[in-house]
Formats: sequence, C-alpha cells, structure tokens
Amino acid sequence: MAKRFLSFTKGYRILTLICPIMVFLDVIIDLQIPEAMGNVVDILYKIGQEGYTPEMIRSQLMINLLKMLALCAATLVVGYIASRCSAIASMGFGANLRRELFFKIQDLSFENIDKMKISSLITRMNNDVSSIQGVYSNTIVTFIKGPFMLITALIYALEISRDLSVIFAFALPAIVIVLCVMGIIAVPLFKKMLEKTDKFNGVLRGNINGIRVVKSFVREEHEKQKFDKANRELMKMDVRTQKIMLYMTPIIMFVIYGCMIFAMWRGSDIILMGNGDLTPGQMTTFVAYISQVLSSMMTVMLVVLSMFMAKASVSRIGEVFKQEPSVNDKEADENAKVENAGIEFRNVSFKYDSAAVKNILEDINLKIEPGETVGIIGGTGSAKSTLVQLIPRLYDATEGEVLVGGRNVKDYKFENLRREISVVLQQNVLFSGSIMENIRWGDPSATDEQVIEAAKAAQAHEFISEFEKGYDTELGQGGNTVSGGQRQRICIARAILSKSKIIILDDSTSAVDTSTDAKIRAALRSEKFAGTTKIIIAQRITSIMDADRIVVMEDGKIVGTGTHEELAKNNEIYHEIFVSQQEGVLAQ
Amino acid sequence: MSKAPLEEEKDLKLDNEQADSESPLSPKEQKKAERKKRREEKSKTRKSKKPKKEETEEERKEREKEEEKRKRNKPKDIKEATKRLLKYFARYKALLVIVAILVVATTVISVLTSLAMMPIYEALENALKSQISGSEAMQQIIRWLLIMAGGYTLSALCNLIYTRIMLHVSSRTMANMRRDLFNHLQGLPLQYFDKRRTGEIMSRFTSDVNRVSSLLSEYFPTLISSTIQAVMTITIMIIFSWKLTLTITVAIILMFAVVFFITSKCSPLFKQQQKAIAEVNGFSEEYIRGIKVVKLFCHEEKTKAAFNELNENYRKVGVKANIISGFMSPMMSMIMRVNYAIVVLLGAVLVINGEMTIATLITYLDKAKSYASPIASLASCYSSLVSALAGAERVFEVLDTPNETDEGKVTLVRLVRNALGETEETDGEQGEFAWKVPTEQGAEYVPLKGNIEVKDVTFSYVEGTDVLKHINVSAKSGQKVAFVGSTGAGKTTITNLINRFYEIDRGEITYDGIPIQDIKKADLRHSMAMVLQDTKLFAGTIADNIRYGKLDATDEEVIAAAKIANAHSFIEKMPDGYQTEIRADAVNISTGQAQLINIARAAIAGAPLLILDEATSSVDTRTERHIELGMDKIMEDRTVFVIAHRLSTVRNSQDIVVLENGEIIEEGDHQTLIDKGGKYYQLYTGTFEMT
Repeated sequence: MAKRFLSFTKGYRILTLICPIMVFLDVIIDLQIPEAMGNVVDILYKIGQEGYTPEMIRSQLMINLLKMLALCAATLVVGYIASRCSAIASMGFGANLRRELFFKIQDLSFENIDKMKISSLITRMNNDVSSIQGVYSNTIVTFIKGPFMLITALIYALEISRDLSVIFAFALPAIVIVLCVMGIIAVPLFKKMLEKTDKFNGVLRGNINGIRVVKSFVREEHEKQKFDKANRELMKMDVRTQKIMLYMTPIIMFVIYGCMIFAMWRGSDIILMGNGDLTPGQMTTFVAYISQVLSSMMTVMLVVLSMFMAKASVSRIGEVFKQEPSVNDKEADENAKVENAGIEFRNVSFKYDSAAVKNILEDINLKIEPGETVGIIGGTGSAKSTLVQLIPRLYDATEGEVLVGGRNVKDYKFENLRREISVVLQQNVLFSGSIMENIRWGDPSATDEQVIEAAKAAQAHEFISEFEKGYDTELGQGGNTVSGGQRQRICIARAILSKSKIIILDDSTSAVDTSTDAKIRAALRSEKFAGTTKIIIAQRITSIMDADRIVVMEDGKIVGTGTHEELAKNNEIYHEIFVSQQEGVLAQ
Repeated sequence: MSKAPLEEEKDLKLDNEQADSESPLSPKEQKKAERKKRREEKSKTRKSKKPKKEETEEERKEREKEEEKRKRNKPKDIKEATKRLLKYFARYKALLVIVAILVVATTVISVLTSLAMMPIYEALENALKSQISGSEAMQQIIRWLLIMAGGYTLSALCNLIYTRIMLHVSSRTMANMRRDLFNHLQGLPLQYFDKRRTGEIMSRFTSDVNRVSSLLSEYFPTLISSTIQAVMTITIMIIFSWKLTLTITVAIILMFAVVFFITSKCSPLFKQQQKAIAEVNGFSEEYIRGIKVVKLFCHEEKTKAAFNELNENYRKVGVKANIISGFMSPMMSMIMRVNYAIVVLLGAVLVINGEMTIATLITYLDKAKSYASPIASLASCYSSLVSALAGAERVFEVLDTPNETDEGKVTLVRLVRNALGETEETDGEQGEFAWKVPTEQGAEYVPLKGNIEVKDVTFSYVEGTDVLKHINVSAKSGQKVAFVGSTGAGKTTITNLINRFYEIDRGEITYDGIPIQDIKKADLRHSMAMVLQDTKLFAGTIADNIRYGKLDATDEEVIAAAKIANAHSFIEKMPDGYQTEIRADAVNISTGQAQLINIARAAIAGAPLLILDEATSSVDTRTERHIELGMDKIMEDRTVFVIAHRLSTVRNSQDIVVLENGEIIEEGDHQTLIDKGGKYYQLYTGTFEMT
C-alpha cells in the first residue's frame, strides 16, 4: 500500500524533498533569534567592565542587528521556496492520486461497484482524496517542523550547557508518558464517543425524515423518550472524555514552568560560581529553548494524531485500489467478433455474492434466435434484469454459460461484445451536455441526421423539437432537466443509434404512455431492425404482448415461455398478471 | 419520481430564506420583512407544487455557496441573541461567576509571576558587578524562584478548577438545549419540515449547539483572560518603556497592513480554486453515478480524458493559490522576528543610555514575545463569538417557531356495554370507537363511522395560488375512494388536510359530522392509519418497524399484519427474519419491500380509516392484488382513501376522483368513467402520459 501511495509522488519527488530542507533551515533561523538575544544581553552585561569601550559594544551590537535582519530576510526567502515547492508538490500528488483513483474506478467491474456502493465511491473520490492531500502538504511543511525543532533545539541547548540540559532527560519522558497515558485512556473513549454521536444522529435523522410517520401515528412522546436516551448517553460520554483532556494543559504548563525554574536556579548557581561556564545571556537563550523544545513535543503528537486520521482515508482509498475487476476480458480472443445476434443461456445459475446460499438465477436454459423479439415478464425480485445483464457481461454467470453469436461471451473483448449489445437500463442515466451529445454516445461518429433518425424511432424527436433549443438543449447533471418519460426515450434513442445487433430494453418505457410505447415497438419491428434481436423486459403486459415469444419468470426461474395467447391460456402466473392489469379493459 | 419535486421544493424555499436572513434591517423593518418572507415562502411552496426541474448545475452551486455564507453568517441582532442566551445560562449564574473569578485569578497570577524574572536578573547583575555577594544573590534568586513556582502552581490549579466547572455547565447546557429543541420540533407543523432539508434541521442540533457550547467553554474564558492579559502586558510594557512599546506597535501595524493588502489581492485565486475543485467533484460524482452506462457504451477512455483535463486545471489553479496561502505563514513569522530584532536592539540602546536596566530589558523581551498573542486570540475570539451567537440565534429561531395549533376538544374513546346495558368508556382494546363531544351537560358520544365529508374546500400552501379549488368529496364507511391525477394535481394535499398536517383555508371537512378542527389532533390521527408516499422506515428491526403502528403489539399480531401486507414471506427469507436490522439508509431491503412493511405497520394500527398514498407504487401488480385482497378483509366497514399513479391500483374503488390542477374533473366508478370516455379513459387506455 505504502508503495502505491509513494508512486503518486512521481514527478514531484525532488520538490517534495526540498520542502523539509527549507523547513530545517527555518528551524535553524528560528533558533538563532534567542541566541542573538543572548548575545546582546551578554554584551550589555559587559558595559562598564574593563577592556570594553563603548565603541566596541556599539559595533558588536551593530553586528548582531545586521545578523538578525539578515535572518529575517532569510526567513522570507526560505519561506517562499518552501511554500512554492509544497504547493506544487502537494497539488501534483493530489492530482495524481485523484486521477489514478478515478481511472481505477472506471476499470472496476459491476460486481466491484455494487460491493463498494456508488455513494461510497463518490465520497472516497471527493472527500478522502482531499483529506489525504491536505495531510501530505501539512506533513512536508508544518508537521515536520515539530521533530526538526525538537532535535535541533535540544542540540543547541546541549551546546550551551550540559548541566542545564539534564532537565530534558526528565521533562521529555515525563511529557511523553503523560501524553501516552492520556492517549491510552482517551482513544477508546473517543471511539465510544463517536459511536454515541452516530447513534444520536441516527435517532435525530430518522425522526426528521420520518416526521410524517411520527405525526400520523401520534408517536411524538415515544420519539421524545428515544431521543432523550440518546441525548443523555451522548452527554455522559462527552463529559467522561473531556474530563481526561482537562488535565492536558495544566500538566504540560506545569512541566514547562518547572523546567524553566529549574534552569534558572541551576543556571544562576553556575553563573555565580564565576568560572565562565555560563553567562546570563546564555541562560536567557536556554530558557527560550525550553519552551521551544517542549512545545515542539506537542506538535509531534499532533503529527501522530493527524496520521491516524489520514490512515482512515488512506485505507478507504487503498480498498478501492485493491479491488481486482472480478469480470475482465484478459483471456478474451482479440479477433473474436459477434457474428450473429443469437443468444443462448445454457444451464445458467447466478448469485451476486458467492457466499450466498440461494441462487438469484436458477438453471436457466433459453435460446433466442437472431432477429427474434422476446418479452420477459415477472414480479418484483424475479431476477429478470439480472438475466439480461449477463449478456453484455455486466456480471458473469456463476454456473453454466452464456453464448452470443454462438460463442461464449467470455471469448470476446469487452469492446467487441458491448458494441453489439445496447442495453437501456432501468435507471436511465444521462450526462450533462446537450441532448445531441447524449444521443451521440451510441455512435460518436454519427451525423446529425442519423441522430435525428434514431430520436424519431425512439419517439423522442417530437418533444425534443418542441424545446427552445431543440437538440442543443442542455441536460443538467444526471439529465434531470427532462421528465422521466422523456429521459427514457432519449436513452432509447442513444441505444438505437449504436446500431447494435442486440437491443435490450430493461423496463425502459415504464414512464412512457402506452401509445408512445407501442409506437417505439412498432419502430423496432420495422425492416431496419429485422436482423436485430430485441429483448424487452416490462411490468406492463401491453409492452410485451406482441413479442414473438414471452418468457415468464418467477423467483429466478423460467416458469413459462410462449406467445401471449398460449401463456394467457396455460400459464397461471401470466394469466394472473394479465388479469390484474386488464380487468377493466376486458370488461368494456 | 414523485420525490424529486418535493426535494426541490425545499431547496427553493431555502434560497428564499437565505436571501432574507442576510439583510441588515432594523427590528421593525425586520418584522415587516419577516411577514413578507412568510408570504413569499408560501407562494414558493405553491409554485413548486408543479414539478419544477429547471434548477441547473450552476444554480445548485450558487445555492450551496449561499448556504456556506449563511453558515458563517452574522447574527441579525447581537444584543437580542446575547440576552436570550444569558437567560438560557441563568440557572448556572453562580457557577459562571465563580468561573469568571477563577479565570481572572489565573491570568493575573501568571502575568505577575512572570515578572519575578526581573529581580532574578537584577540579583545576577548586582552580583556580577560585585555589588552583593554571590551567596546573598543566590538567596534572593531562590526566594523569587520559589515565589514563581508557587504562582505558576496556583494558576495551573485555578485553570484546572474552572475548566472542570465549565465542562459541567457546558455539557449540561448542550444536552438541555438539544432536548428543548427536539421536544419543540415534535410539535412543529409539517410545513416546517417540508420547507427544510434534513441536513439543515440536523445542523441546529449539531453544529449550532456545539457553537453555543464552545461559546461557554472556550470563548467566555478566553475573552476574559485575553483581555486581562493584553491590558496587563501592554501596561507593563508601557511602564517599562513607552518608547519601545510605541515603536513596535507602529511597526506591527505597518506590517499587518502589508500582509492584509497582499492577501486581499489574492482572493480571486481562491475563488478560482473553489470553482475548479467543484468542477472536478461534480464531474466525478456524475460519472461515477453513471458508470454502468459509461461501461455499456465503452466510454471509459473518453471519460478518463475529460476527467484528466479538469483535474489538471484544478492542479494548476491550486498551485497558484497555495503558493500564496503557504507564503502567509513565513510572512507572519518574519514580522514577528523583525519586531523582535527591533526591540532587542532599541532596548540595548536604551540600556546603554542608562534609561533601562538589563533585567528590565530581559523581562520586557519576554513580554514583547507574547504581547501579540492575546490580541490575536481576541481577534479570532471575536469572529468565533459572532458565529456562535449566530448559531444561538438559529437555535432560538427554531424554538420560536409556533407549534401546530390544536384547539380540538372532541376526543376518541372506546365504548363497551356494561352489565346494566349502559355504554361506558373503556381503556381496553375492545369496544366500539366513538367520538366524545363535550357539551354543557357533560359529554355526548358519537359513534365513529368513518364518514368523511369534504365540502367546498379550497387550499393553498401560499396565498394566491390555490392547490385545491372547491373540492367536494364524500366517503362513507366501507367505501374506498380513490384519487388519481398527475403529479402536482393535489391528490396528496387532500389527505394532508384530512389528517390536519395542513389546515384548510376555506370550506369544511367533517368526520362523522364533526368539523375536524374540533377534534383533538392526536385523536384525529389515532383514528386513521396512513401509508405514506415515501417508504420511511426507522433504524431498528423489522418487527420494531411494524410495531410502530401499535407499540404494545404481540409477536403474533406483528406476523398477522405482515401476512396481510404480503410481507411475511420475504421477511421470513431474510437472514434474521423479523429481527433483521434495518440499516439507517434501508439499503438491505428494496423499495417494494419497504412499502410492504409500511403497509403492515398501518395494518397493525387497526384504525377505522385508512389512507394509502402511492402505497404500492414499487410493488408488482400481482403482489398488489394479493395485498388488496388481504386489506379488503380487514377494511370491511371502514373507509379507505387510495392515491395512486397506477390505475390498476384504484380500479375497484367505489368512487374514483380524477384531479387536475387542483380541480375535480371527473368522478365515478371505473365503469362509469370508462364509459364516459374522458380523461380517465385516456389515462387508462394509455393515450395520455401521466407526469
């Protein structure tokens, strides 16, 4: 995993490495300041001592002033280089990561996508990438300063006085222990706290979303009790967690001030011994270093904490990268082309989850001749959609085989197979862009006339022409600017345009009125589509009544095939569906 | 499909609200504006009742931006919000005073303690200049160090005590505020929820309450301590040397001005960056949602190329913006360092001129280092304070929203005959339902029949645009009345009026001859079971969800209800049967299954009136038929209202009401309407597309 993430830094590695170097320089500059101050103090102490003329003191002060101003200028230069490099490197890293993730998602199979869930993929894509990028840019500049400062300041402090530095041998472990103990106690509490927060939010969201239910069943009091419990639990957990954190600031302050007092006590003692081991200026410098060392300890802890937070995002994204497309065309024959539009299911069984006990499709045997029109009907959950999704290999059959044009679908490259199969899915998805662009998805090289022709066959031309901008009408995200029935017809036009050998309509005229529906079917029956195999899945019996053959499905099994007349007579389920929809019409 | 317009409706109203909340008006004008706002809001509801789908991507972005702005928005009336908040904290007054005293103590002690540095360095100086002996100096130093230790310990202790007290106060205030909010929320009219998105209401409970709490636990102490620290530090610095203090103040102001100037120049870059990332995110969201289509049309490569272009654009814009934002922190540290250099050198000059002692300079430098920090924290505290007050204001806004009105006095009771043959009320589940109408003599019982009369009802969500116009419908017990029509025709609105989710404008609805506004709301709703359009289930087991219709139902009753709804067979197939947990997003069951559970929930309630609003839209027609048969059995002698899109659902109703644009255009049973050859006939034979 680390290796994979490392690969995203490609092209920006040198810039990334420059950042810590600049940060290191900045730390050095930062530490020069207390030293310069100490020098000044020492110079001042020399006033009036023998051998120090006012001129000497003045010139020494000037040197220090120049040094400090030079340091300030250096701050700017170093800072600019760091911010430039880090901006380029972290944006580049983010862009690489985002691109690779998006590409990976594009390559996933339907099974992977179903397992990962679309909404979760979107979150990973949009939120997790940003948060990892944020941590990356923080790490190479802000966070790395903590450890650098800690080590460098410690070295500087040691240089000033070994005697005084003894204090760090006690203070550092003390702070580490305090922080660790707090972490050990607090982390599980935080986790519990998150659980309680989730539960609280769940109760609240459920109530707000279901307010009509609450009110219509007069369950307000019941809901109040439910909420009160969650609310109380949340509060108790909150207090328990915060109680631990309360001690943090006072303890750290206690350690820092303790060290300062110790340093001043021991320091004064050494100075007063008068053998020049320590000057008052050095002591002030040392005291300044103490707070720098100890507060950088806190940043180190922050780094660790943010790493933990990023870890969640990293592992969520890593999960996506780890997915192996479960359906792939690696073993397909490059040259295999779909020769004819015949379809055959041989002893096909299927389940989405290999661990599931029950098959979704059970022992399907079905042969569809080229040019045939087949209707499929069945209740909710009868697996009609699943059946047709095996044809373009959206999923692979668990057992048995699916043949298209006489060859197993696995023999074809995806592109060769799917180009010959147009599926209009139940969820009709269009993309932002004009209607023209959307229909042209079916065949990028189609002329405007061909697009219009397809739209006419799909009975979409009429309403599209009524739009102010006609075919140039912009569709919003997901095609939300047109009504459900219109969307379905644009999707059908898109499928028709691709001139595939096989067209599958999966309940794709449900929002279209029956007469338009009939016109679409009539268009599909025309000469032009004579060789095209058509599979129509529908809830509405009128949509499939005139098919060459109707397949009735129930619970993942085929329970009858035949023409409308045959099935209405012999098939109980078909008859029942027919009656449930047609009673009134028959009566008249 | 019916869900989409509803959501948009909420969004639209949200826009409206935001626009208003940003106008800085005097209280009087504000009231006027509020009234206007309410009117406008109503008219929005009305308009959006018709499926409105014109909102484009940009508009959505625009709206989100507005929302973002609103989140950070300033309160309309700081004084008022503060006043109300203080009232809210009143019960903790004593504790808050103690906290304030402790904060003052902490700050004063720690600032004064830091001054102890001065005599220490003085003693050192004196000893080095041999004015006092080394041991004498050491004695002085140790004395001051002990004072320092004592001071710091004391101040850390005070800090610990006040933060502990504050935790107590703030956690309780938060919990109370959330409870008050929730309890109030339960009484709010449905209108309130229809107008807002779930996330918006939730944020009152989460981010807004959290803001108020941090106001207590963080900003209140910071405000006090920073103020005192700033005043004390500056005073001390001025006392030590007003010349130095003046110099660095001027220098700092100058440099901040430069920084401010540079950053203000760069804000367009950040806007560009925001836009670029929004484009990337929008694209990836759209194409991940549509990924199945992308794959079916083998468009993967094209999609990747288009994404790459947006991604690269974001990278380029982002680099520019980030270089500048990253440069801010070195600029700030440069300012601090230059400032420090000036102080050190000027101080040295003052020492040489004899205007200052070395010890004073060292102490002064220590102060100068920290002098900007309380001011900076005060500045950031102010902006957080303002946003916390805005949060508080939004919380109070919810609490101020008036409750559903309920003046009804008629209650629902059950009557049994006692041994003497007299009727009397019972608490049990036996007996006939009756309305208890209070009269001057006591009470009168009207048996509940389920006769609903809708007489000349006109209704608008907003004045001026009527959703329902002069509607007359009558339903007798044992009858099934159906409403059909396009989305936005007003079908759901009629049922919303019958159960008083909304109040009628003109006309009257009577229930067994009693005007519904005379019936207590809870009792009115108890008398009817509803299966609603959105298949809302609560987190919990399937059994829990069915039991929601009757909290004390036995397992047998739950199963019986599930059987009526045809849900039993699929529930049994679930891994844990009736104990299967329904996840918050209900992903583990299909919409059709959720609808069946909804129906079971209504069936178990055993109410004399049933309203089915698109209850079986996602269930196949055969299953629907089975449900119908089951329901018919329990609904004998009861009144049923059915709303449906699918005509096979309503076919066997005694009375089918065809609505269009809020008016009844046809009415009659299936055969009559078919024979008539009007709109219903067109809908039925499919020559007319329902939207």
